[in-house]
Amino acid sequence: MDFKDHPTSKSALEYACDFNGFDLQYDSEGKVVKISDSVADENTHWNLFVIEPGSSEWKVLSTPYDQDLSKYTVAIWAYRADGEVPTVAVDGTGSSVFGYPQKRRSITLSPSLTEMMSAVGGIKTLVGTDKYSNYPEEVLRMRAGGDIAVVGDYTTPNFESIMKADPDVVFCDGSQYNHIQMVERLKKVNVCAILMYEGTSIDTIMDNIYLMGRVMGYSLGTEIMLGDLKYAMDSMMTVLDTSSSAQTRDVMISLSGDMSPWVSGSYTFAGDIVTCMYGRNVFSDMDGWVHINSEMVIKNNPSVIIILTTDYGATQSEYDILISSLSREWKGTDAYKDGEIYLITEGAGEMAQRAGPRYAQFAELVARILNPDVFDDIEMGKFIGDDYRNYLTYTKTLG
Amino acid sequence: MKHSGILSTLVVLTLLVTAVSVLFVTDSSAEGSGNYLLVDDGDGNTEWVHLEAASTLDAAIASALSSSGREYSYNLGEVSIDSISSVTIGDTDTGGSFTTAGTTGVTVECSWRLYEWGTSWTQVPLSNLGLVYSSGSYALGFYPDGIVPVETPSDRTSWTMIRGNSQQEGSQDTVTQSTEKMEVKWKNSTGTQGVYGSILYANGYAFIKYGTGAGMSATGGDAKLTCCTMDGTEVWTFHIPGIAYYETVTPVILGDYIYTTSCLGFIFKLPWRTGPGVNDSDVTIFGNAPYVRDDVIAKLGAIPYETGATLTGKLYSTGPSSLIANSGSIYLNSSNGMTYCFDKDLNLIWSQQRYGHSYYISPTVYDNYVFTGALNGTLYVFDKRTGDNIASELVYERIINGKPYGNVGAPAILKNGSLFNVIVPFTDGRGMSSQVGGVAIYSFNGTALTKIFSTDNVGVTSNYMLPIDNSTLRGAIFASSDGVFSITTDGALTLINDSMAEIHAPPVMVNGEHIYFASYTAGKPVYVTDLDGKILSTQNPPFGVSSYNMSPVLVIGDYMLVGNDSGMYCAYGVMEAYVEPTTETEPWWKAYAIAATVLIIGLAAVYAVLRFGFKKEKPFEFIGESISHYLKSEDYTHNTRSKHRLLIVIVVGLIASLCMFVVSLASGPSVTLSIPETFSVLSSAIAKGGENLTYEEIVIYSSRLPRAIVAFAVGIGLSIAGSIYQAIIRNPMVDPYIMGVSSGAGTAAVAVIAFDFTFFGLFSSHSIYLTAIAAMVGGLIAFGITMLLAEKAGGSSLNYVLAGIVVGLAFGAAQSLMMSMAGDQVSNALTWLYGSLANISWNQVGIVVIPAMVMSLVPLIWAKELNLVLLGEDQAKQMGLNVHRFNMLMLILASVLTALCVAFCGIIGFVGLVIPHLCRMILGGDHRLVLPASIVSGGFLMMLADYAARMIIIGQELPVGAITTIIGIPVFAWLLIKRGKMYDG
Repeated sequence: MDFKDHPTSKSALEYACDFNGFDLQYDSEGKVVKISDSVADENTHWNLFVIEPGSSEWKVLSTPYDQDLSKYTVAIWAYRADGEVPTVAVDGTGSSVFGYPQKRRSITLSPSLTEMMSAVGGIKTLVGTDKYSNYPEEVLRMRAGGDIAVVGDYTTPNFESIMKADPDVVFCDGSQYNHIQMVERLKKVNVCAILMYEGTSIDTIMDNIYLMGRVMGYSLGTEIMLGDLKYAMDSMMTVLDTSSSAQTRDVMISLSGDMSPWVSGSYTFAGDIVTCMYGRNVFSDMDGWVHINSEMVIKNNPSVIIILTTDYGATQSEYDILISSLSREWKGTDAYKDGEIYLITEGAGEMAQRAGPRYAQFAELVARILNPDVFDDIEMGKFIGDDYRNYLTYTKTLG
Repeated sequence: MKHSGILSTLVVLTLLVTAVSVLFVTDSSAEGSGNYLLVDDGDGNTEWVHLEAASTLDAAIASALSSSGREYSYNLGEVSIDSISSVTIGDTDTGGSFTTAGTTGVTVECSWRLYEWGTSWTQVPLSNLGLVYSSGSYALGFYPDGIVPVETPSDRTSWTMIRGNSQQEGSQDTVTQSTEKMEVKWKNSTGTQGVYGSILYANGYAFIKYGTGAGMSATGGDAKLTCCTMDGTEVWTFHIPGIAYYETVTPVILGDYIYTTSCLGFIFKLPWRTGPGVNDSDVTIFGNAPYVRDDVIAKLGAIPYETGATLTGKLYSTGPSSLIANSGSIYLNSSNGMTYCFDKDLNLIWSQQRYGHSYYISPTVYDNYVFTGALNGTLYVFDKRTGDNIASELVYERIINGKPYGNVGAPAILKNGSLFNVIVPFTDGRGMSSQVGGVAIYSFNGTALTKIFSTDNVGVTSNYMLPIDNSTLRGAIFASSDGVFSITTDGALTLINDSMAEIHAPPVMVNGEHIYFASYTAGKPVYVTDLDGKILSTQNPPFGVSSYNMSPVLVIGDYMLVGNDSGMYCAYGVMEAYVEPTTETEPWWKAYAIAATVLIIGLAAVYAVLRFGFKKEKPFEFIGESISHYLKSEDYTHNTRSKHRLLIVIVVGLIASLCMFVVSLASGPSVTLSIPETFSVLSSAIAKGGENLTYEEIVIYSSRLPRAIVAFAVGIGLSIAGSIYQAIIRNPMVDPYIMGVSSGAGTAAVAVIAFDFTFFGLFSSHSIYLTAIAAMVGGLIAFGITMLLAEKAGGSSLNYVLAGIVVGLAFGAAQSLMMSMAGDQVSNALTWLYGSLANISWNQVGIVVIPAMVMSLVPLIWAKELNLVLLGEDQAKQMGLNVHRFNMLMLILASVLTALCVAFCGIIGFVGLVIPHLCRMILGGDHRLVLPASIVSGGFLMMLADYAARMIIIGQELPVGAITTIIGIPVFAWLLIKRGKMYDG
């Protein structure tokens, strides 16, 4: 937001609330008492925090309503207990990220970041995404309507397209070399570029969501959303912890049904989810995604195999083709013998391969696959595709 | 038998060895012959001594026990041993129940009782101690009425609870006599019913509890308790309802009964000699009530999962823990936070609340105290008679997500006068997700616990330790994720072994000198170490029961019983001595020295024979001249010389290829077999026609054999194709991919992999042949375009090279474009492009091998013509060869061959470029030599490279194309330096 367009801090606030669709209420003395769902009380107030040029300290303004904001580097309205200052986050390049003013034009360079943007409530600010971002459907509609530009594919974002979309902030994926380069390039031309952490675990995903919410200035909504995610995960884990029939099962997470497949080792987010949900990753002695020798499939003998892919349709016939084409090594596993091979494909397969906020949904699918006796309200199919929401209860309304 | 204290152990051991050797040497069949006294402490500890005739039985016992260092007295109708004469477990009713802490009014009067041996133990009045003693065996047991000792004069050993005694010492004394190499006698593997607790032993019977793979279910998935003889013959089986997956509870044997639990919250009691009876009619539950299955499943009268108390730590609802017997009573923990004490009829004596869940870990009962932990990270000491809470200390707590977690495992206890040293393992109590663990030491003086030492820097510790009290160590030995440690009671910590595979199962000490560690990791052995952690011997699990292991090893005489996730096995004999993988024990030069010695002796022999047998003046010069003569002599025609050279190359190449082939089959990332084993496994797999294969058969027949065959064929194919191209184009820089075949094939393969191109619906999108056929077609299309261009340009070999390069670049560009658009499929496409034999199965073998071999052998017919072409087109024409037609035919053949190899294995570089050069450098340019030599060396290099690709990082696949290059370059460089001056391609 250009503060020069708004003569006073009050009018800037009103503009911001209007832009974001927040309910803004004043009390009889003209003080802000409510923005969105957060109501000021005895201890907690809506205050105007600013950073003066040349300083990095937050300052609370005692007369917040008639300030000329163009005097300050950063200004935010924040809901804080008295004496508290806005929190600082740190991005993947080590740069500190303050609660900046809410961003109005954002770009996300990977499908998982786009999903994250939607989750923190910033989807309306998107002006550009990578080519593969296809969730939620709103993104596709906005792209078709011309509101979102494609600014390159996932591995090679295009600098010119990004600049053309004129973003306030660009979110880059720390797992991609070209994204790391892009952050530097964008910072040189004074575009706020944030390098997100590589999503190798639930914790890094949560950190990323927090960071994105902080950068976008949607801290409050983000914290609620993080709370919802955590609550859903905790609920499922508590059910497992307290159930006498919960089993820990040996799991292989594979990217295909190939004789020698790529599988998840430690330090992958899929592996983390499985471990969380009472699975024991039989390839946890390896790191990252690894191309394993076919002998290891039968040697490590998983009792459940989960195949994450988008190559198959979620139909019985495609599933049958997959199962019948498996090698003897696969057919020698307990998972094959017990019919415990699950195909997560189509939209569900995309979801499972994206380290984004839908990890909780993926976690619920995994929890149900591994412990059907504990979660016996829904019968799991062997192949799960675009209809994956039908298998969810704890996380059905998230994402 | 087990006993604390080094002195008594040694004495008992000496006596036992003497007694047993007498027994076995003189009259091994005599049941109960010899006169023995059994002292049964009623807590799993027993001691056997020899009785001599005396004026009274009392005097005979006093004399026998004085030599074993135990204080014995009999007076006023009461026996006292080591100052213990009686104890009463239980007290007046204070409202104790399954859910409320307190006593119930049930009491057990325990004192020393006298038993006489006939064909079984019979309790006789203590006054019989005053009778004249001449012969016969007797027992003194610290029991209440109605319980008799388990051990008998003919079988003086037993293992009646999880760690052998209520002090949880895990120490077994037993007599071995076998000298046979250890062999697996029998096994029981269902794959789904693992053995997770300790196997028990009494009177020649093993008691094995098989878990369930079906999870806890009211109707199905019963676990079972089986009694069998030591040769594996089943005697009886009791089906236990309601056992959770990976339930690790061990039953207990007390008197004539065995007690086992269900996760539904029950303890079952049944006679261990005869089993559950018809329809389980001899099984009883709490208060000796008859067992009614439906009632148990409905949890009528069960120990509930919740008591109403608020508990901390990770939540489990798994019911009772392993059982411990002491003083005629049974002690256990429950996941509901309570510790319980029952009498032999399963009447509750007392209960106590720990305010933390627990996970199957039994309490430790030592003297008058119960030591136990909980998942709230706290250590408790209760009075074993009343359950009164004497002391408790928070050992470890870790806050995760705002919730406290912690776990205290089974304490190891060493008594020091009236003080107890309590060593406890702890973790953050999150089961398999635990990240932090450690060990703490407390001292207990009868009223309070005092912390001596604590560290959380030893990795995640196992739940059970091995207390050790001998001249060199007073403390404990325990396993953690970092290795095996010893710790003294002062907290001096030593990592004594970090080379054994992960150990989770409780360690077991045998005869005070050997420790048995069962590896948790599937397929890894049971290790036997000395007390310093040095591995002495190992025993690998048999195939079929090589799974994760949480169950301690049971050692009885020469038998070793080992349970794990997929079942159990029984081995008999002497374990093989362990040879350390490092050669420190054998100096590294030893093998070389032996080889050198053999060589010198061999050379001396040859020298002697030639010098004195054939009267040659200088034998070695003679040999050198002979070889040189054989290969180079002008006495032979050029052809003969060449034939001699070829013979050598082919013989050496074939032997090397054969060796490599066998190594590829026998050795691999999951298991390595000896060569005879490999062939027996292979022949049995072939005999079965590839159906219903065992693990080893699958690995050798399905994983390794097709790969080795295809590697051999592809190596040959690429080398031959390279030789042909290099001859026809007369350019040493040419490789099989020069005609654009690889780029065309790559482009088509990427199109299929990344964009699901199905040849307009001709193939199902998941056909395993789709990528291969697309690649082949793509390769041939690219070659076709190259040929078309070259022919239009005049058809000279230079035209071919230029056309090939241009077409290759064009397809390469298309491929790069597609790769950049492939998104998440890029890694699949890359795997193919780098070349890999990882996904070769029998399905591909016929398609690749037969055509590749045929096309590789056919050019041998035209070797002469290829030689002509090398002379130059004009000379070849003069010699009557239709050069143009021949060249075209050869290029088509080589391109189809290349496309075929590339189609199934991706683009494997280097082989086709370098092998022909190598052969030419050694043999000269004659294709009658180069082609056969390329066949053997190309096949060998490819097999070697593929073997390296799967073995460099065990378990992972590396791109074989890179490996071929890495292996080939040094050889190539060496030859280039040596022969480069006289080599012109």
